[in-house]
Amino acid sequence: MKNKLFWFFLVFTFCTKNVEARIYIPIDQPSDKKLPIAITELVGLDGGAGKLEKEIPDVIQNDLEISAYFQFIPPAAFLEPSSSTALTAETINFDQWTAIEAQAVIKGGITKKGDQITVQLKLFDPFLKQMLVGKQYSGSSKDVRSIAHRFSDEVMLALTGIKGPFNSKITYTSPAGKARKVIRIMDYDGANDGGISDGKTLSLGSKFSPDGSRVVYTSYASGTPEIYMSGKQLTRNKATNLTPSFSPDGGTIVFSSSIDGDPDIWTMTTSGKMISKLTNAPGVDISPVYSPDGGMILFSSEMAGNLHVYTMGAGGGGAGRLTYVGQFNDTPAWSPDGQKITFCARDSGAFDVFTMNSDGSLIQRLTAGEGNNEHPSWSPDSRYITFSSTRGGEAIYVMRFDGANPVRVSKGTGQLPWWGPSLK
Amino acid sequence: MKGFKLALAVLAVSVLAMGCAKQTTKSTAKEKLQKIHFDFDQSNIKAEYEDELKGNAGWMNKNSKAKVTVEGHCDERGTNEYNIALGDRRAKSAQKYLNNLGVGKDKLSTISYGEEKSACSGHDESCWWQNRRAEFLAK
Repeated sequence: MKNKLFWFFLVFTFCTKNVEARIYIPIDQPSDKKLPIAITELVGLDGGAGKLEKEIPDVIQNDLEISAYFQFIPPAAFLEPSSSTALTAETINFDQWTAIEAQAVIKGGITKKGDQITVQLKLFDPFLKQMLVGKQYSGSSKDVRSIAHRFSDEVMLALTGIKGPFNSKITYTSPAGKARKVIRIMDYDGANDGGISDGKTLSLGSKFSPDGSRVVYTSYASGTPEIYMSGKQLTRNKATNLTPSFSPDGGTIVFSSSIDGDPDIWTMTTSGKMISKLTNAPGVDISPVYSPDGGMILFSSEMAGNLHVYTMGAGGGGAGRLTYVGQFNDTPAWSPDGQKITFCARDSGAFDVFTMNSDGSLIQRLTAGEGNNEHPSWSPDSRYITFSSTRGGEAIYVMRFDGANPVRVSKGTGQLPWWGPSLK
Repeated sequence: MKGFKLALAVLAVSVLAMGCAKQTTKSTAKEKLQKIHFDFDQSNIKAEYEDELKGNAGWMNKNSKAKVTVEGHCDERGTNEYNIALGDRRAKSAQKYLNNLGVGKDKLSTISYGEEKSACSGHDESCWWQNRRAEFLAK
């Protein structure tokens, strides 16, 4: 475990010509025009790497499909023979790519010695005849998916100007029998899924620490709903303790507790020492999260009757109301770039996911007419949202910030997802 | 010999009767402690459940050693965690009502399960009203 924590990839960056930074995909203006990209199988060097030659490009393609910014040129249309081993701007015949109108080409090579792999991955602009990204990763065969996600992140950086969110995890809650639920963690695309809490009790509502190393959640393991941090019990007040989340510095946990009678917003240290009570209004105060700069807390409250979304100072006080429409607005989450807030609202019987500016203006609906869509939170690059949906069985989904391309990512049943940070 | 058999039969019957009697006491707690229901998204006690709560308070005052847990529950509408908070408010308003009827504060504790322990699994009001409830469980 320690080895895994301290493991880091050897990454080598090939020199790219210092071309003027060009944005291939403008992301500030929603557009249906997708960039045509070709992704080839990796060239097996020194005897090859078997199925990894296909698996790595498949993971990259799945990332870029989920991104919703690309159109994939089918390999059957490729003019370059699949036997080609050309991996440099000098040797690649770019005419074979411009002829099929590929605006970007991903190519690479792999060597495998025992369990050790070395992977070269490169992104080319065939029209400029230039390499835009060139990386070499070394690791063991269990790092294959992570290597692919890291490169996808780089492709997004090169083509959109902002690094991708693909080397990250989602934590969520999964039913495990009557009144039993387990906290699970999976890669953002649903791979490497595993439970982290005791399956014999009811645990729910997990969120990652800012560095992704810990999760906080509620569990009934001791009888009453108490806050836990990665297996360690933090509260023992026998009241109702819910919706914990970390401050951006990782040192404070803000949560809802009925220790004083009514569910109010409280803060405590990561060792469970209560710091202060931040709200005092009658009714439920719940679902607090910090703003990315740590200066404010976003939460939902019944202080005006129905449940609505509010902000207040991180030390309490100065509450400002953000939503006025609807009767039930809950689980707000602030985008890491500070610009947007997503939340879910019940409207005509079902829940849907909405976004708004961080001042409450410009509310936009992202889901409609497909079951209940709840508990949204942001990808580390603020461009995607994970949420639970009951369209076709309750599961975890990912979609773009504008609601485009909702994709199911959890293989099994899931709810209450939370997207963690980009991993180092 | 006949007398012995008879005595055995009497003994057997009385053992059975004792068993029954024991069970009757247990089911009394279960039968006497009545659950109550709530309006959608509300935690206030409805006037129509006054009799149930008076009955519960009467049983608790008679069985003064009994400790009772009030469980708050909700229907499936509402987010999971909000429903646990709402169930907390429901359990607490039932607890307060019983306290006002003379039940000692140390006799009652509360816990909320929100929508996590439903009594009925359908997706319409015929089930929802059954799930919006407070249950009283003697320990």
